[in-house]
Amino acid sequence: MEMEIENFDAMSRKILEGIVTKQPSLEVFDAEITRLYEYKQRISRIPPTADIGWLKVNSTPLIKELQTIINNWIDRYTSFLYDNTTKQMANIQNFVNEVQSGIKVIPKDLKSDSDKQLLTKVMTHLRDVTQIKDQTVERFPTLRDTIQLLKKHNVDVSVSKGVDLLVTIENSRTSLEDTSDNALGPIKELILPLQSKESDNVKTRVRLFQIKVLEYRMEFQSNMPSHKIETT
Amino acid sequence: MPARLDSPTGDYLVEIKDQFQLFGTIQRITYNLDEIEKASADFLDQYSDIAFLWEKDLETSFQEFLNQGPDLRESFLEKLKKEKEENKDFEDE
Repeated sequence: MEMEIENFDAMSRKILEGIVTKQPSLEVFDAEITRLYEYKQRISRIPPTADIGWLKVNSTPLIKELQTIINNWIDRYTSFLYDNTTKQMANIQNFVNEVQSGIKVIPKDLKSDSDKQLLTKVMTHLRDVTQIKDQTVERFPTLRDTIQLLKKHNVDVSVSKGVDLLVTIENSRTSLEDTSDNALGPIKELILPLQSKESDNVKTRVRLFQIKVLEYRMEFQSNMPSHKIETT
Repeated sequence: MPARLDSPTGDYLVEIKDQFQLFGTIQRITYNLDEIEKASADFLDQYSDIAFLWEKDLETSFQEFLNQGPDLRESFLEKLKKEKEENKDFEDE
């Protein structure tokens, strides 16, 4: 369970950065937007003029103003959903790009410090993919449903040049899965020998350090002002 | 009854107390004004359920709306907890 929470937090840091995470369900959004559209329709059915006894009421300016206000309210709900979705899409794409460029170059051996740094960098990307991928894939149905909801309420969801956001979501998902398969497949296999070699190096360094500490301790104990003398 | 124009207090009741036709007309006018007032209130009432549109601030209302929902992390933790309990029940069976 702790691991799953850790993975979720890792996903939040990368994919949910700048996203509003406290919000009602899409059903509640749908109900609210539908309610506003119903008000709008009702207002449009109100006759522009009405006679009340000796009074003649001209409702046209009021109706016009109310339509504008309702449009602003509808726009607030729909633009929130649109912005939150596109921001998430951008975060996913940034993550994919970051991993793709991060695993492009792999050290051939571990002769220099830069090779070791490069190996650490690649390993970090692989860890990120392991932690983030599944949680991110789980977010795609919600992203799709959000776009479907916006389409239902006649919101233009094309990104640019007539490209539908639903298509972009699908492409993003494929891109994430391909990058993940590449990172955790061939790339992981390629760095495995270097990883175990570096692991051995670390173990050796730890052993050497332990010996150094032991030697220092012995030297200190024998040479300190009040040193220990073995007596028989 | 209209207030007197020639003195600061009083009305014209003394002058018209015998003119029943005038009384009747005043009554009809008052009745019509009441009816118009009622009809105007009904007319305005058709907008009462959408009064929040101009009475409330859009941004504040929207933030209140967002705050109704659960936080994504809290939902995730609840889902995990539920799954864990279900797994435990399954194992116990």
